Amino acid sequence: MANTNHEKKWSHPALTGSRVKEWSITGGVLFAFLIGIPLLSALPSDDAWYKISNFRLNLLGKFLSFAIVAVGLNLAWGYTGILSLGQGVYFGLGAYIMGMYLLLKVGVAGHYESVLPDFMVWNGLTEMPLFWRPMYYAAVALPLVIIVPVVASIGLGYLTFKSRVRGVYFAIVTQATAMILMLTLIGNQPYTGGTNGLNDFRTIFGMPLRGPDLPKTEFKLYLATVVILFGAYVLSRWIVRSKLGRVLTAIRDDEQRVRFTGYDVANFKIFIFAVAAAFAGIGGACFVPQVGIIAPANVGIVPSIEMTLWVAVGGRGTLVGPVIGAILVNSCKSGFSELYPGSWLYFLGALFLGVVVLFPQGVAGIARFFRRSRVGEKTLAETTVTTDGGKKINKFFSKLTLKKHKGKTKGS
Amino acid sequence: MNSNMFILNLNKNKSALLNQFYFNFSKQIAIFLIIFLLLPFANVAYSETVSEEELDYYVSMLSSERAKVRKRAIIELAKIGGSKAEDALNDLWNDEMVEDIIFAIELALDTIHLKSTDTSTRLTGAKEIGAKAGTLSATSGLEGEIQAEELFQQIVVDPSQKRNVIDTLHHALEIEKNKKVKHKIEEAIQKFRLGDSDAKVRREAAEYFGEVADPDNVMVLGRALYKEKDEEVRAALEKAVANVEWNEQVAITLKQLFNGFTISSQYLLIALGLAITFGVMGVINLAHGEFMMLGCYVALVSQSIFASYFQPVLGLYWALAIPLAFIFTAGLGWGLERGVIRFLYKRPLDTLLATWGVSLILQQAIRNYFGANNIDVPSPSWLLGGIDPLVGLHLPFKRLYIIGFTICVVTAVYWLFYRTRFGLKIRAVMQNRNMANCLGISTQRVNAFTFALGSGLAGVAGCNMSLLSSVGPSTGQNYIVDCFMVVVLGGVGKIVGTIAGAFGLGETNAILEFFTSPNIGKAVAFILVIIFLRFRPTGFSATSVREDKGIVSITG
Amino acid sequence: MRKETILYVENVTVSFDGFLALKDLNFYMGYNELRVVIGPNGAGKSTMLDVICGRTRPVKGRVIFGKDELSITKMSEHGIVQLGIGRKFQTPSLFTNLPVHANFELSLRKKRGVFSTLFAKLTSEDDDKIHEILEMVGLVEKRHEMAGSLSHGEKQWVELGMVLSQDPQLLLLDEPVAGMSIEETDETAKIINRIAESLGNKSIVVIDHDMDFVEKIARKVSVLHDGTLLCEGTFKEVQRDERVIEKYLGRKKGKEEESKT
Repeated sequence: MANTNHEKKWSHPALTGSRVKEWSITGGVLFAFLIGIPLLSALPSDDAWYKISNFRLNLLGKFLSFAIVAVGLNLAWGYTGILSLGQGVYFGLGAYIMGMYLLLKVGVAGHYESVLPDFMVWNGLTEMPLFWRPMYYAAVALPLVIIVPVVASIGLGYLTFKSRVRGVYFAIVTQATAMILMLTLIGNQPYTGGTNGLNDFRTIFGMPLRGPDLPKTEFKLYLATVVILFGAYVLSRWIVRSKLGRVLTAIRDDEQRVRFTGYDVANFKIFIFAVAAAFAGIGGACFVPQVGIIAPANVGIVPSIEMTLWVAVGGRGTLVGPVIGAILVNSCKSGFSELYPGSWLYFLGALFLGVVVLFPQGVAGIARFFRRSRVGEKTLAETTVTTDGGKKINKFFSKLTLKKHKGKTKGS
Repeated sequence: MNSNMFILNLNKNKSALLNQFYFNFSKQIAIFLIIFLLLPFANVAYSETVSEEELDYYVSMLSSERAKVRKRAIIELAKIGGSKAEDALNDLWNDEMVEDIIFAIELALDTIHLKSTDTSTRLTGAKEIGAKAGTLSATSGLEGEIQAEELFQQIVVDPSQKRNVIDTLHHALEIEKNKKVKHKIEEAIQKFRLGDSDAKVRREAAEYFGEVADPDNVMVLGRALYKEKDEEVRAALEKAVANVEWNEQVAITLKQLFNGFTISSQYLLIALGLAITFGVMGVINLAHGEFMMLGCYVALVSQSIFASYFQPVLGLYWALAIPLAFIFTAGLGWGLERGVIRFLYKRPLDTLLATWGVSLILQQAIRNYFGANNIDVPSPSWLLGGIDPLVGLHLPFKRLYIIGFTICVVTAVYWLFYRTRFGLKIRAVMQNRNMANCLGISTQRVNAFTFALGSGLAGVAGCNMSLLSSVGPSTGQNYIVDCFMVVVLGGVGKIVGTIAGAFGLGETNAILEFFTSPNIGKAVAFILVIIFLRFRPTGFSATSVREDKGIVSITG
Repeated sequence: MRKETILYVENVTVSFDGFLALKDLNFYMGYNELRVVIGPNGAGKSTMLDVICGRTRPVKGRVIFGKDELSITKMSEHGIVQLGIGRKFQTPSLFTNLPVHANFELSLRKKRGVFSTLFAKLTSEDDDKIHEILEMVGLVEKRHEMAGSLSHGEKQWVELGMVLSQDPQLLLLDEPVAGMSIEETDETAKIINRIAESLGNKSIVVIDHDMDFVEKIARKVSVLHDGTLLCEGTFKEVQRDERVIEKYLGRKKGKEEESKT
């Protein structure tokens, strides 16, 4: 970006400069921590305070695959203002493709000793369905983890963004897509495993997914997830800081102005929605081997909406926020389910309400509040989603009405 | 083997020929004997003058070792009737091992039921006799012909009993007042006639079934056709079967459409509230489905209140449930608007998340109070039953009521919107909030009122939902996406659009469901709605407005 | 005559639910021209701009633009912008969460595809151009501030600057001084006059009904009434036109006299 011969006096090259720098530090600390946890645990000492159990590490790995989804969703929602209540669809597509690949790797080791996965035999299929066949090969299945969600999201984006469906309307349409996927999965049991989904995987890339060596595999999967998450983070950082990132913010602020500035808004929306879908697909693919099952219950309406909560809690429109949010919300969830199984939904409901009404900028907003009281810095997202925004708009409207009165007296 | 037995079907064993011999030989004697035996009881059959001793005598005969004796007793008891005979027959039915006799007992019981004073008992009696007559006729008649034997259960019935049953039927037909029972009796008689030895009688019966064209009879007709030799009767039977099948198709199609219509009405009632709130405030309430679910539970609570305190007028609980559901959910909606949503008007996307939070809390609260399982709310008795405009097409009163109710509510809302001052205010806010504010309309009040109204409609819809299915904490979620799609399809701003959206989606769903499965049908219907959006993003009720400030442009 | 014309609006009719906002409107713009369009509320001024920039589709008529005399009646909004028509809206519409200079950066005449935007780099020429425009609208000091935090008048200037950054051949300015203080109005008049002096091949359409402002910038004036063109001429000519006096200025004049007495 830098042009060394010319000093940029007028335009700041990194438009969101100091803020991005600070978040880069936060991001660096976070990722160092995520990598550090398992490495410390791998140390020989037995009962050290910094050791976490294999179970917890695996759980954290699961949360991090959710974090990948959240990073993508944040690009669409936090930066562009496109709220998707159907991100579970793309998560699910990625996850199911990964699941299909893993199931086919089971080979004849299944319960029925057939080439077909157990549930197919159980449902009376005698031949491998056509769309399952390419999944034998990692070279096909792994790219499809990204391609299929991207194609699906472009399809939906084309149908909606091109005809300027947006906002709440778009959100409920995406919710319907989550329903569509769930109904399709349940309704085609012989091909998708129905309500039970895909499970009982044996190996991944030659590493066992069961038995005494499982912790070793889980350790490697965890590291892989951290690396992928870091990649997603870097990529989204790059997008946000590019000119395209500013176009996205502009779309969130005033879509029509962007259109009358000469940009085809729909294409930008489709692009960022597809990126979000790709991240969701990758997240799904990371989820499956670590959790060992993918079922309609993981991809439907309820989990889809929870995905938005991860972003909201962490802080939308910030780069690290979604990662923190995904880890935080899911830690709470598993903590609550262990301690007070009945009250988790109350807490979740209160969390939705609280984060939206009281802390619309999430954890990042709270952190910024403390920092600002220290530095006295004026920030960007302040004007984004604060309740002050409402006041400003009111002020603006009162001016507008004043002007209208003025216009009237002159006109008549 | 009993010589005076009317042999319906024969076992494919050695005794078959012997049976045939006995049968032919004793036919004349049998008929004579029957007439002789029947004479003394000819007047007794329907009179109350049967002595206790006689009754006791036949009851004691039931425990006889000999099957023949037991059969006699059964026939006589059937003629006598009464609760005591019924009990005795029921006892025997529990112990009896011989197939034929079990059949005879059942037939006897049905005959007794036919004489009951209770309409529904008579109806079941007539239905049961009809079913048995069908089985008998399908397997009977053509002496010496035993080709059917492998297909059908071998049943032998005493001719005297058969005659007795037919007589009872004829008598019952004369005195019966209830149309439905009368029809069933007639049908039973015709079923007997279908097995008659006279080809003309059989043809007439076949013609009768062709006219009635009840899909329930298609099996009987098929069986009759299978063994029928007479060409004319065959033709009549074939025509009858074709008629029945055609009628069945028509009935199924109409039924599917009718069910679609009911569901559409429900969609409409729920989606109307959503569309109004969205039109006025640009806000979608994700807890709307839970408000509906609460309406279901209000119906449940009202029912149990009446069941414990006002048992004699239990059916009237509905009169409490509907207003209570409306007031309760409307109040809740008002609270939600004042407590949460009004702070979020500039952030409609956040409203989605906040109301989702509310929906989770409501679901869990219901789960804690009422349990996680689905509960059936007993419908008020006056909504049970239905009408049958066509054979095979049953329109339950419940569903008709739901359709009628929806029409009333939609008319009322229409009136409110287009004929009252307050409606004018609502529409003004809908079109231009700021301008309305300037003109002195309290947009705050309009907001709260519309939100409460929409929520109240959801609650009332919930009440009606309890008529259609059992009620559980997740009932709301099962319907809510459908209703969002109705709003998307119908557009906002005009009630007509929502009506079109509701029926468009409801019927499309019903039709697709018929050709695929409920799950896939719904999925395809949703996909069609999304594709539709590409061409008409504002749904059915699209209006060209000066600034595209309409529905689709409300962003977060 | 025709070859000197940058924009033809011919026989355009616009209907909103049966209400005719424009009736058979004919309107022509020459190159290197600043035109002020006046008319009472509901005369169809904004609607005419909407038709030109593709926001509203006419039921009848056509709009032809530029050297190649392309019909833009059915083109998309962004396509029309890329062709060289820039529009400033009546109420300031800008990117409130981006700093002023980023608002201009996004408006610069550059490739606007998704991927060319993703890989775009800010060159020194771009930077100079932004500076030039910042100076023109007088916002150099505020270039790093969020556009949303500016005052109403400043926002109007930001939007004006955005339209200028697009380097359009035809500028459509819808009430550029709406809601401005008297000082700000004067400043805006100066900016517009400055632009008009160095037009080159470009043209500007200004819509307003602030007569003091119109007088300051007016060269040629068109009067719209009830969706049709009432008359055209210099400000003085229009002021003297009987029909205009009757329908528009006259009433205002009468009022002013009333208030004076």
